[in-house]
Parts: sequence; structure tokens; C-alpha cells
Amino acid sequence: MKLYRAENLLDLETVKKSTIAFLGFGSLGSLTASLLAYPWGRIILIDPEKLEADNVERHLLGYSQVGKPKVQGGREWLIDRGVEAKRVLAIASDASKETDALAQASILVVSIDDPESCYKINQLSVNQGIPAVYGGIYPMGTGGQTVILPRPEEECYLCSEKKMGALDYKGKLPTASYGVDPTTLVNSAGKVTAVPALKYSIGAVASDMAAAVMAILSGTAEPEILIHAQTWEGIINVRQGENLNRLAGFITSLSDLGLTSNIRLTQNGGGYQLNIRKGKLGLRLNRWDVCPAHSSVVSIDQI
Amino acid sequence: MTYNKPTHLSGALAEMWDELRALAGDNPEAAVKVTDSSKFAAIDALSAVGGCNVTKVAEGVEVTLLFAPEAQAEMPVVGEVAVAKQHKFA
Repeated sequence: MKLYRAENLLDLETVKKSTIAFLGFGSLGSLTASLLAYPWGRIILIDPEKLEADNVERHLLGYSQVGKPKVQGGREWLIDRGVEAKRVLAIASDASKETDALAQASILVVSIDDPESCYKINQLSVNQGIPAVYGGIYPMGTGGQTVILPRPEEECYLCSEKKMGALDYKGKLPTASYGVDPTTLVNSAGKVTAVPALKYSIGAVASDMAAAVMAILSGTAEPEILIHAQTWEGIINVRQGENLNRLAGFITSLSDLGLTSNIRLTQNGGGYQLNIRKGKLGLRLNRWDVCPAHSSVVSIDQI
Repeated sequence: MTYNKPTHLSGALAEMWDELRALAGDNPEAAVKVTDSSKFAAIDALSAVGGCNVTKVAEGVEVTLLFAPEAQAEMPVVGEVAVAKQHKFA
């Protein structure tokens, strides 16, 4: 694969010696893969599903691929972009079962709906020390998040789920309407499924994920949850006090300077909430002190 | 319900809040219609920091004041994620 527009932008040597694994090849996973169509040492695509007609609207692949495994279509797409065929491995299977293939990866790019599968993949990532990037889109495409884990043995996906409050909701079905019938958010097995969102919202998160992959490989990434908001999205709660005063001053300054603000405060219970839109903010990710994914890891010092 | 000014408002924002509070008169929660366009920017700024809610109407804007929260004890700790985004798809 020859590149003509990446000189001094892409660390080709690192790319060529790395194996990148895309776990989940839905709308988000396929768009992310398309942004990273480079001459990797190896590209592994894993997804058990076949492309359906209603995927096409947001997916990388088109109607000519309907009925085929998504990963097969993805492999063909990459080859058509100049990636050597021998370097692309397509596995039409559940990613959490493909541990042997994943163990070879230099980095995992995870775009899977099912939290349980993500937790299993996370455990492998933690145990093997494989950096990972997880993406997710919020219903209606109001925004999405990219979880960046350059050192999963220190901060992992479960740590991020804890920080985002998702673990508190484990096992419960969606109750918010999101503007649609909540029962349409889950399939017959009770798993969360894709819901309305426009492709550009998905593409924005795919772009963040692709950038995160390159940052991890270049050694510049820090563990964080990058929240990309299209419409107003609550980020953190802020109590009344000095932090709130400073935030209010900052927001006012933006307005005074004639800048259109993409940040605002709204009341939330007994305090305030910081909201953003048309932009992104990174939440610093710290290790969850009782993270079960880490408790099984025994350090050399403990032996 | 007490109708105290939010504590994080200062300077021009605090003055605008006071002005709107005076306009609201006996019913602090009442929507106040503002037609003077020279005040719209300040009202927008006040809205951006949680001092009021604004709705555009044909004549200008309709403003409902927001007051200092009372239930501080129920507020999660600083930095806790505001909205549990548990439902995602890929």
C-alpha cells in the first residue's frame, strides 16, 4: 500500500509493525476502520453479523454487500483501498470468543453494543496489557464517547464504565424515551440495539477513535473518556463554590469576547451541571479502586 | 421555596439578574417579557451560566429567573459525571 498524503503525519514504521484489531464492524466500527486504512502489519476484523439493508444508511458498506458477513465486506473494502489482501484477516464471529486472534493484537478498537462482550474483551486487554479504544454512540446521536486506554493494566474499560455511572444500571432496561419508544432500544434478548442517529454523529466519534489509536501508538495518549457532544450534553456536576464561580466567569468571558459558546451551566438538583455542545471534553480516567478487572492481576511484587 | 440570587453570579450578570427580578415583581417565578434588544446579549450570558431560562417570542425574549439551589446536600460530589450514559450503541 502506497501513501501519498501522509508524509510526516503518520509513523509508518510503527503502523507496519503493528496489528490492529477491529472488534465490531457496525456503523461505528466500519467508519473507524475506514479512517485507518493503512499498511498495518495485520488488520483483524471481527464481527458475527451479516450486513442488512437497514445497516446501509450509516455503514461503510453498501447494498452490494447486503447478505454477506460485514467483515468480509470490510476486508474487500480495505483491499480496494490498497491494503494487501494477505494482511487482512476477517473473522465472522463473536469477538469475545476470539481470544487467540486478539492476543496477537497491538491495539484493540472496540465498537460493540453488548456490555458483557466488552467486559470480556476488557479482561483480555487487562491481562495481556493490550491498549484499547472503545467507542459508543448515545441514542439519537446526541453525542458519543471514546474511551482511551493506553495502559489497560492500570485503567481499564470497567474503570470507565464505573466513572460514567453505567455499572449502576447494569441489568436494567432503558427507561428514558430518547424521543423514541424505549422498547425499540433492546432486542428480544434484552440487549441494547442501534437506535436513530445520523451518520455524521457516528462519524465524529469514529474520527475521535481513529485519532486515539494513533495517539496510543505514538505514546502520547493518556487514559480518558472523550465525550463528543452534538447537542447539549451534561458532562459533570459542579457544586456551588469556587469552581462554579470560575466556570461562570469563563463562560461569561467567552461571550464578552464575541465567541459563540459551546459550554453552559444548568441547574441540576442542588447544584449545577456543566454542559457542552458542538465539541468535546475529555474526562480524566483514574483507576477504580475496587475494579474487579484489576483484582485478578497479580503483580510481580506480590508474588 | 426561597428566591435567592445564585451565588456564582457577579458583576453585569448579577445586575441583570436583579433587574429581571425587579421586573418579575411579586411573582418571582413569572416569565418576564423583554423587548429591549440591547439587553438580549446580557440575558443570553445569564442563561449560559444557569441564571435564567430564555424563550424567544415574537416581540423579543421571555425570561424566567432561576434561583440559588437549596438542596446542596443532595448534590453529587464535584466532578461526578452528570448524566449516566449507560445506553450506547456502536
